[in-house]
Amino acid sequence: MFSDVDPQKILIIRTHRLGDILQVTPMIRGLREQYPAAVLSILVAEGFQGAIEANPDLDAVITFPRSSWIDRLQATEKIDWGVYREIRDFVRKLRCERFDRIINRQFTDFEALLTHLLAPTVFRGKVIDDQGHVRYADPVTQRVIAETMARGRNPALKNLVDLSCEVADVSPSERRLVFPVRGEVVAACRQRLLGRGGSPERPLYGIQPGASRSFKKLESDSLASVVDYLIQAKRGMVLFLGTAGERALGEEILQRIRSDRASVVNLMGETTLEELGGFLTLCDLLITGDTGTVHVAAAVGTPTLSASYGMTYPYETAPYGPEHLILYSDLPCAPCDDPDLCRKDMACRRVLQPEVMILGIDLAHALAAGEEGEVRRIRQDPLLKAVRLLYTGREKITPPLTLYDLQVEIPPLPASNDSVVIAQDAPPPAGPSKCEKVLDAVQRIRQCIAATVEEFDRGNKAEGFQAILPVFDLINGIVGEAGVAEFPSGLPGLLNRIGQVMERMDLALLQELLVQEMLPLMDEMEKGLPRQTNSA
Amino acid sequence: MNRCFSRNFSLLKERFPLVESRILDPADPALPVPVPAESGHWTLRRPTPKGEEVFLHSPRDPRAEGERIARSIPDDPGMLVFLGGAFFYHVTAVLPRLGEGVPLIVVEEDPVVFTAALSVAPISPLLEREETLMFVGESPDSIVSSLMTRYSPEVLAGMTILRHLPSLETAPDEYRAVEVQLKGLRDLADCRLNDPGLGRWFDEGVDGLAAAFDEVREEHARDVGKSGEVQEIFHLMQLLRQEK
Repeated sequence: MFSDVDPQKILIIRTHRLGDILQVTPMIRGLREQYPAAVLSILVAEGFQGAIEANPDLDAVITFPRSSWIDRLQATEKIDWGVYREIRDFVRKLRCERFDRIINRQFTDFEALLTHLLAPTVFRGKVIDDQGHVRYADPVTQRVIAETMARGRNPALKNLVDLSCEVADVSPSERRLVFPVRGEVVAACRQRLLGRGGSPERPLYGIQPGASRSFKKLESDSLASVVDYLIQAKRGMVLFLGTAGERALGEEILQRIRSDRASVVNLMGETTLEELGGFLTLCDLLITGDTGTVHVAAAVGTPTLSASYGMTYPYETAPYGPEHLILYSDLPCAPCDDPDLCRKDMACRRVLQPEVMILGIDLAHALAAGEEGEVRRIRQDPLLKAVRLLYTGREKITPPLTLYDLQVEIPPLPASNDSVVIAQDAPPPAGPSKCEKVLDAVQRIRQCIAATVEEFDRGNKAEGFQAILPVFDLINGIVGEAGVAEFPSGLPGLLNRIGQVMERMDLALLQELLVQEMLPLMDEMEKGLPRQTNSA
Repeated sequence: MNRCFSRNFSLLKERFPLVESRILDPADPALPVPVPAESGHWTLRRPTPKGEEVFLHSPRDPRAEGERIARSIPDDPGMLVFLGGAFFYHVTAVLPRLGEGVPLIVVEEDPVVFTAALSVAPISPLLEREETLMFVGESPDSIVSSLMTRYSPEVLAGMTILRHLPSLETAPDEYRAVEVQLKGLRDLADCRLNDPGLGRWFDEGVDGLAAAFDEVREEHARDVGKSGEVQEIFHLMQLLRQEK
């Protein structure tokens, strides 16, 4: 819980990137359920309101011309006083709203400072204070930052949907992305397809080749072969999806295909966001990279096949829902920090050659059809040696989302209802007491600290960072068990500092904080626990 | 023309040739006539926009009043600006308390008052200080421009503004406009000191500042923490400008 007092007005900040906005919708659902009387608003950049304006859990969508401000400010070395006045009026307007809770799920500095300037009673996420210092307001965000800095190839990272719910401290009754598409819009999309040569008899594949960032774009050569395969081998129809700015990319692919071009409908730049959802509803499979569209597909329940490489780390960003297959380019350098600095000419993208994408399509079909033998055959294909096959499963997600590594394990087929036996009258098994759990966590924190210091002493920097990460979860667990009132008052501040020190990779200071400050706090915590008594 | 006026006038011409044009003809019968206070020092009655009349200095003892005002200034001001000079009792009283090199700025919005002052108030102690500046009937932009040309941000950021309340009652809007701009200038100077990245905005000069100051209102300037609103908005702009 944030505090004992229910909030009156909550602002969620997640200003841009379609997928990221959709990934906070389960959190918004949780907030609505937990605070039914509160006014819930979201702040998004102009152009993204379509992703969220039909969301039934929100009371207001506040927009601002983020891109236009950036363009105007970057266009000249002089001050743009028009932008000055617009930003000033925008901040004043938001201040008048007097939000008492702000959940900032944006990690950009502008929104972090804005969160501070709006001076809410309680806030979560990244904040920049008066002095320009970056602060992470809650233990979950602190942990995320620490994990991101030391993430390496950590498959235990949580999906952003689950993290958002943790940050807001909510647990929605149903954890799924929310993107309502009206029935009449779907019907109109169907009509448009029929008018452009579509046939209900043929499987429909959506392809989104472009992306907001250039390194995320799929290679047109690869996609042309994939389109040929879908048309010739699968007898399918293909929809090109994307923005008007990406339309040329669609035309380029179209020029390269060898099969019947009439089987391709280029819808790039021809759809509103809701219509995009409508067309995706009609698709049997969406094929794309790490794009916002993959999350729209997840929201409307369409299976996806996505290529993941570069900075993208699917454990964090996989589409939330069943039947999503991710081809993860599993090179030693992945996930990278900045593809612009790549010295390997984006080898991670080249791994996902057309043959690999085609195997992915077959795998998606085999998984959907429950053809276990075919799944086993495909996963052993030598072409997939450098690719990790990650799958969200076949059934509704039970949070948190965990990805199946298909080369290790194939998810079970959905169980029929009568196979589940629930012991109605069985008493719940006796678990450890609250005191025991806290004590156990304290011991494990000590072990983590010892392991971290040992790794650092050996010069193993990455391993040391890895070893300290469980501490954040353990402390969250303690908060849950012991309650904030019994929590040593210095611990939240210390965690914040540890997060910052990890961000700066300052090993010496990190060790000092752990040994000289964290360990004494653990001692204090242990002493504060009631003594265990042996009863007869 | 009395001797006091003649001496003051020639001193002024020497130090501030431009101020000369602001001085009216002392023989003009329309000029108000100073009146003696009980202590024998001079004071002046002036009308306010509300239709009332105020004494610019105490009708009992203007000099003692000036010394009282002078005692209220903070220790070691980096720069002192008086809004309202009137007959300068409060300004001259402050001189012994000012350190060497501390700029002393006097803004008198009413040339009538300034002309009358020259007839009764010896201003040589003020003008002997090289760091004294006088603005008579100048526009806020002109004052700010002149200060920006002469002083570094370090000096401007340490500006203390003292308001001579009777003078402010006679021309509230004019003094208010000057005060707002001066505070904006101080904010921006502070901004530049605390964030070198903002320096070039400061350096853009009075055209940019005029637009900014127009937007700054005292009631919004100190909303959050220690930062003024201008500084906050500039900081937001800076973050957006840096975004990839």
